[in-house]
Formats: sequence, structure tokens, C-alpha cells
Amino acid sequence: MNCPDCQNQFSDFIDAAISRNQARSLKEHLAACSECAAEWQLFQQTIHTLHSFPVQRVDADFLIGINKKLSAEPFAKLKGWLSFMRLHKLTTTTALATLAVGVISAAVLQLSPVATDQNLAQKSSVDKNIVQARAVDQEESTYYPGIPYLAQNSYPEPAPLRQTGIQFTPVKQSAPGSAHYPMLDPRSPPSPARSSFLHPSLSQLKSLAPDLVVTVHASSPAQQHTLLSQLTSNSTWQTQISGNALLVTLPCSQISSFQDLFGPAKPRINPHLLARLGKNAPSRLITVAVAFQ
Amino acid sequence: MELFFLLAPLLCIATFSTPAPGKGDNTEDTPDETTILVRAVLQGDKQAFNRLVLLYQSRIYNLAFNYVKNEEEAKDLAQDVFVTAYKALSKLRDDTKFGAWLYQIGLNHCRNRYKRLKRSGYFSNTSLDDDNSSLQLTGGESPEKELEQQRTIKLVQDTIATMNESEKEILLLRDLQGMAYEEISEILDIPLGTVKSKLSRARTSLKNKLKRVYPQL
Repeated sequence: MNCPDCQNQFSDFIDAAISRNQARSLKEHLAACSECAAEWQLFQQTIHTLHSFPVQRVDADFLIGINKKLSAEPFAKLKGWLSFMRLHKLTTTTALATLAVGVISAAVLQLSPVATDQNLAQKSSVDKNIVQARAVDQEESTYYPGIPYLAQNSYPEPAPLRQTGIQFTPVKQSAPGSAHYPMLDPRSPPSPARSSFLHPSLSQLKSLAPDLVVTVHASSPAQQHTLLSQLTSNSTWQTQISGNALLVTLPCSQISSFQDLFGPAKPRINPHLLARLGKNAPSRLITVAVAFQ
Repeated sequence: MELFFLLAPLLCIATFSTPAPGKGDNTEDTPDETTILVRAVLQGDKQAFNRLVLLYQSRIYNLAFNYVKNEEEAKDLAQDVFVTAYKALSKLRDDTKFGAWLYQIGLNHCRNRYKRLKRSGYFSNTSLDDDNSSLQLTGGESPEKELEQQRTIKLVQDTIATMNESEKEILLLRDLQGMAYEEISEILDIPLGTVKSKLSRARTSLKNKLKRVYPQL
């Protein structure tokens, strides 16, 4: 047995994992080789030191700690994140600074003049001097007092409006062949912001796109005046005059009263949209722009 | 559950009076007992899990302590090992292999925690002069001899810390945990012959490092 072979067997020899013959050969070599004998002494001392390592006692609350960890598992991720921050030397100041940047960014975005639907509606009202809806499902109605009903539909021909003396005939401005009656079709479902219309400011009125646009072709100022007085006489309706347009905000539950102003020729409202608006909910409002031509 | 919390400290204290595992500990579990407990846990018996913890806590804690050399970190790490084991117990394919499986989880946690601590500069801040490792010698010797032995152990611990992961782990399992070759083979998932050769290399490497760095040893 040479020296490398001898020293390679130290580990197995100390664990008694070699055969008797191998052990005898190794002992003979150690007796003859002082260098290997010194190495064997050091090897033995090293392993003896390892085996003399003290056994650490486990804390009395070890098991309780495990059960606490198991029961408080939802907070473990937070703890891990905090530990991550601590290890990566992310101070509380850094965390707060990051939070502050986020808050400021959110505030700037809120205050910046972003082109919203309401802004676009206001621009449109300035250009055309009338509040117009832009949604695809917007139904725009045009009324010609005294002019026969022209729309192609299956509904009965409207009778003259006796109460006001004005005869409004609804004419649907739609593609040829369209066979449905013009309806007071809300442009979009009411948003919570519209509740503020109970006490509107002028800026709010201008920035709000109406749910419906109705164009009235009255033949005389007297007819316009009559209709205007009817629209503004209802104390529960909010009205705002802008140029030759009138913005009327009324509860959805009173939409039938609005329709009655137009007599038998009153436009119909899409029942699905009414249901969506919540017809009988007093807090739901519908906004109608009435433009006089 | 209340009864458990009342009895748990008593059970823990009871385990303190037992010798270290793998070093003449006669109260260590038999495979049969472990298997029975594992099956009971899988059937929803939480007390059985507590018993499993009490059986293995000393071994896992000492493995963790010798890996990261910090009492608090070792305690937290060892607790995490049992939490992971509890949550993943249903994935244990062979309930007779719970011990090896638990050690595998333990080694994975040790590796991850050691890397994390190393990145944070924890180990670079400790020097050979630090005396923060609370070594507990068994006594019965003179104070001078105890001090010398304590110093030697500290030197060996620090030398082990400089070894690579593979060598360190096999030394911890064999010479500090007192495991058989077959158990190490299962835990590290390597053949028996590889265990022997790796262990031989690791021991020789430790001896040579000690000779080179601490010739006075």
C-alpha cells in the first residue's frame, strides 16, 4: 500500500467501513510510514473534534412557535417582504418615498386636463351651440310642428297636441329603410356623478353630455315659448338654458310626464334602457337637451 | 388546542433531558413510530404532528444551527422546515421515508437561508474573535481544557463554513448528525459509493484546511 492509497482510506477506516484485510494493510503502512501516521493523527483529531460539537438545546417555545406560524400564515408573506427589505437594506424612508411618489403621480393624473367624454361634449356644445350626444346608440329626434309624420313605421299616426296647441311630428333621422320609431333613448347609463345634478353648477351642466338630444322645429316664437314654459314649469325638473338649447334634468320616474308634453306624438323610450336606468328609482336622473331650430 | 399549549412546554422540557440525536439517544423514534404518526397527521390528527415535531426538532434545529451558526436564525429556519413539512405532507409519496424527506426540506431551507444571510453580509461581519456562538460543553473538565476545546470547536466551525455546500452538508449529516451512509444516500439522493467518496474528500479537505490555516492545532 502506498501513501495516497493509505490516506484515501482514512475515512472508511475511521468508520470501520473497510474489510479486515484492508484494515490490516493500512495499519501495517501506518506503522512503517511516519508521514502517513502524522496525517492519520490529524485526521483522527479532526473527526474527534467534529464529534465533540455541542448539541444545541431547542427553546421551550419551539413547538408553540411552529403552531403560531401555521395559524398566522396570512402574515408570513408580509413578514417575508419586510425581511427582504431589511436584508436588502431598503429603509423605511425608501419605502415611504416610493409611496409618496406613487401618491403624487396619482394626484397629478387626476388633476391633469385629460380629454374625457364630458370635455368632448362641452366642445361639441360650443361648436354647434347645442349639447349633442356622441354615443353610437344615441337616438336623436327631430320634431316638425304641424308637419305630417314622415317616419316609416308601424305606429299609429300621431294626433295634434291639443293641450299646447302645438303639433309636433317626430321625424326619425336615420338611414333609409329604418323602420323603428324615434325613441328617447338614453345615450348611456347614468353614472353616480349625475346625482350631483340635483344641485348643478353651470360648469357641471356644460361638461355633462345629455342622454338624449331632441330638436324642435317650431314654426313660431309663440310655440317655442309655450313649450319652454311647460318644460320649465315643473319644479322637480332642473333646467338650464344655453343659447338656443335647453338642458332638462328630470327623474327617470317622470319621463312619462316629459313625453306627455308632445301629446300623442310622444316619442317612445326603449324599455330595456329604462329598465337599465331604473325607471322607478327617484334618485336616477335622465338629461335631455332640447334644441329649438 | 388549549390543552396542547399547556402541555407543549412540558413536552419540550421533557425532550431536553434526552441526549442528542444520533449520539446515543435512546428515545429517538423508530421508523414504525414515525410512520404511524405521519399517517395519523394525514388523517387530521394535529397532536400527531406535534409529536413528530418533538421527535425531530433537535436534529433539525442542530442541522440549521451548524449550517447558519446563529441561534435565532436557526430557530426560525427549523420552525419553517416543520411548517413546510406540515403543509406539504400530503405530497409525501412514501410515509416510511418521512425522516429523509424532512431532512431534504431542512437542507433546502438551510441553503436558501445561508445564501440570504451571505448576501446580507452576515458572515463577513463575524470573525474568529467573535464569541457569539453559545457553545455548551458537557463539563467535567478543567476550565482551561474546556476553554481550549471551545476554541478548537470554534476554529473547526469556521473552517467548515469556508467549505463548499456539498462538502459541508455531508459532514453535517455524517459527523454532526451521526447518520448512516444509507440515510445520507437517501437524503442527498446519491449512490452509497458516492456518499463514501464525497465524505472522504470532505473530511480530508477539512483536515488539510485546518492544517494549513491553523498549524498550531
